[in-house]
Amino acid sequence: MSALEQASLDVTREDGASLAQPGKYLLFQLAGERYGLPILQVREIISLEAITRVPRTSACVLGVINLRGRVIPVMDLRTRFDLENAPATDETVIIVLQCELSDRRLTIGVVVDDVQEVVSLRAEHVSAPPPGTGLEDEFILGIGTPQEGQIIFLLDVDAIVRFDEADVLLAADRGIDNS
Amino acid sequence: MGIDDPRLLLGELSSQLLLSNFSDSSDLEKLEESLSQLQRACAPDQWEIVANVADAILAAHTSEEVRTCAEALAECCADLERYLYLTDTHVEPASETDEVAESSPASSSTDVDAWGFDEEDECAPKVDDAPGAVVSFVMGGTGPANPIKDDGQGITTVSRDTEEIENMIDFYSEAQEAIERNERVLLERSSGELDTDGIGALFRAFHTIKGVAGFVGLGQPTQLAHSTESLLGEVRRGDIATSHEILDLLLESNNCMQTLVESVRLAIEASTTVPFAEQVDDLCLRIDSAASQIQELPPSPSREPQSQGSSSPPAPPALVPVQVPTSAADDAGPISAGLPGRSQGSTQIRDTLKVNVDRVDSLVEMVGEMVIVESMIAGDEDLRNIRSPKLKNNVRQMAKITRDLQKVALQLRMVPIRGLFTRTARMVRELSRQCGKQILFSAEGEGTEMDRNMVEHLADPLLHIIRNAVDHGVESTEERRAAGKPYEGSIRVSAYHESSNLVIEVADDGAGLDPEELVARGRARGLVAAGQSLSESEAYDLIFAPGFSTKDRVTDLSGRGVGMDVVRKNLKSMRGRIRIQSKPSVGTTFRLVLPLTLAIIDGTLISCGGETYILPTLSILESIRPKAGMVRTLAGQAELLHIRGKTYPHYRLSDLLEIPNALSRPEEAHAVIVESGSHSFSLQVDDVVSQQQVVIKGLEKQIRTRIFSGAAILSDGRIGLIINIDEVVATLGHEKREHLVGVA
Repeated sequence: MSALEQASLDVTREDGASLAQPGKYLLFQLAGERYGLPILQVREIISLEAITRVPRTSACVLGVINLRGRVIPVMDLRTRFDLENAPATDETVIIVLQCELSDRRLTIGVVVDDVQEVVSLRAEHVSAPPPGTGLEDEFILGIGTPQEGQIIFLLDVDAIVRFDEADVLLAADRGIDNS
Repeated sequence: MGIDDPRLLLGELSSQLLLSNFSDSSDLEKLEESLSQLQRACAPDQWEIVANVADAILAAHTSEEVRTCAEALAECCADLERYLYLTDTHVEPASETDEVAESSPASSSTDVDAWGFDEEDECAPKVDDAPGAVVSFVMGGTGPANPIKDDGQGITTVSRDTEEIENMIDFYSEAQEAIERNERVLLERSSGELDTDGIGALFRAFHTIKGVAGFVGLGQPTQLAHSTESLLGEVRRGDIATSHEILDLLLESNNCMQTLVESVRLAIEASTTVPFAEQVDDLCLRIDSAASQIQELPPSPSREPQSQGSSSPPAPPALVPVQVPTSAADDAGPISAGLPGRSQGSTQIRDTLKVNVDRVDSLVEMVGEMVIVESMIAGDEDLRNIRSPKLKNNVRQMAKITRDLQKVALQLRMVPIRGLFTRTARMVRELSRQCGKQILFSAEGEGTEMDRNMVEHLADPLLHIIRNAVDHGVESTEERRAAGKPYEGSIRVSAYHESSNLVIEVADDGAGLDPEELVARGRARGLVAAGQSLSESEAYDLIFAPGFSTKDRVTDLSGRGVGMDVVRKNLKSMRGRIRIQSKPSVGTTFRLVLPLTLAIIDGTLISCGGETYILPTLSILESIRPKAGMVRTLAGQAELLHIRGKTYPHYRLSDLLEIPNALSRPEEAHAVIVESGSHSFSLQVDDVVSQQQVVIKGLEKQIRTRIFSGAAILSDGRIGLIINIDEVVATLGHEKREHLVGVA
């Protein structure tokens, strides 16, 4: 890692989101690529259970599930990333994420192809996303390279769950208090 | 706030004195017990005064002259109180003791003022130093002064330790309660004069506020409570009739106290110092001058109390009022409800526990879960196949306990509507004065309970409805005379439970609404299309449209056309509905129907294409099985359901929810006729499955649909989405309604 890359770790991205930090990440697979989620934001991993469809909502929302009495939304990460759909397998799971949004705490499930392991990324394993990678980089805070030849996209959980802010605000304004 | 803080013990002793009837020896024993505790807690230099109290109690034991002893006791307590608060303001204790001891037999209210305003003097320079700025008055404090940081912008932030914050919070809740009680007392007597009970109740309440405020070192509330208490003391001492001026002064003082207490709450939350309220000094001066005026009046002999036992002490100038409970007190009307009074015995002094709302909420939620799991277990196929009477019995037992538990858990959050009605009464009083109208206010069903979360949501709608009733509803006195009505208008609010709903009605006997005029105004504003005719209730509903006003001129009170919009919005968010009934020149009644609690609704489970959804039972008018020919298609697009001479727009849930395999022929399906605002429509579903109470879960904002107002977990563990009836029309009806205009 060059000195320049090292320096860029401490700055923030254009949209103000801070870059990926060294630490523990949960690795999962989606359409053949490996992604990492900060372990502190992962609440639990559950098997794919019956999801209640919610009509007329975002395409990436698969529906809601009953997580021990709580109704939480479940998001299809493939749709969110504009990847093509794939049938669920035995490995398909729901990762339940916990995020602190500006006004509330959100618990949301994301469906992924497979969870793999938890890795510890040291500072020298984390780098900023190279510029000009296109569509995906709005969700990506950095790139992890724990070993030579391995590439992990480190995800920005807040950006993933914040789909279409304007609509969300509108719904919040009209809807009931969800807290 | 240690358990053996002398001030607390003294407070306890004082309240025991208030409640005590000195002829009962068990009461005296209790007093002695408190006293010895107090003595243990006091510093040696305070013993002398405590000993005086002890003597007085001893005298009460032996003496026939019960009342004289009571007075003496009260006086001793007052001395002690003065002393304890004085030591707090760091006045040299030794010399002060002598002074107090000397002045004790004839301590007059001037003495009281002297100590009361000593504190004030201490803080006064601070006020002068910083005119206009936010001034702190941390004074008369408990222990060391608070570190005060000034951030240079005129806002002072204070770091408080947790104990102090807790004390402040205690102050807030105690004062809040006292203020609400006062308000009830004052408003109930606003037409007439205060009787001894009323004065006593107010006195005690202000005394409590003073005590707690002094304890946490809040100068202004202490000062105000002290002045008001003195005034009340004079009123009682002089045994004079309370004039309207005094009543108004008392009301003003109570309102001002409310403001002060509120500012304390804000200060706690923002960790700033309590701002200095300008109006307090002036108000105190006026109260004090009123008190001194009374002092000069000769006691009126005409107002001797009725029964011999209840003759009030001629002159208790003490800080601690002595009230000897009598048969008269036993007959006390509803006003003494909620006041510490021996007469109301067990119903009043009931042990209560203050619990964090979050805990109650999570308890209620968990109980809701338990109810679901319980029904899952009870309905389990495998379990049912086990032939064991014991197991069956246990399962039944569990079901019963679960239901009981649910009932209790829900009651935890229920509060009587009384507080809201008290606020309403004050509003009517203030508004009618502003309008120059004479209005008689009456309230019914104040004990009706409702979810405490709903109280705040209801306050605004009620305010707007009342404003409308006062300003637009009730006519002016001249108009009423001309119409041959009693010159006093009347506004009546009532609350009651009806099936599982709470109903609140606000009725005035004013001019009523004129549907034709409403429609004309609606036309002018473009709310009603040309050629469109509206039913009476649809016309009334126009007043809920944003910006709609029945008045041409905007008054201070209303006419801006914002209020009723809020009413409908708030009611919708509570899943309630509002109806207007009106008769020209007879009056208008607003009828608010609300679910009993926000957490649970009566749901009707419906199925459509194998999926299950929930409709709020409150919005369902009826559900029918359409016969052939009932559903007609209009111009190949919009459908209508015709039943018993009425025609409803007919929508299919499968269209709304994009359900592919629903029943298509109306004759095979069910039609549920639902009501949304002023219009009703028919919704076609496959089947109406059952009715059950469901615990509402909010949906995350990430699910950005308005069609669902929430979700509930059904007895089989699956999730049922609750359909938001109002949005069905907005989503589906829009394009179809265009076709219907002119037909409906």
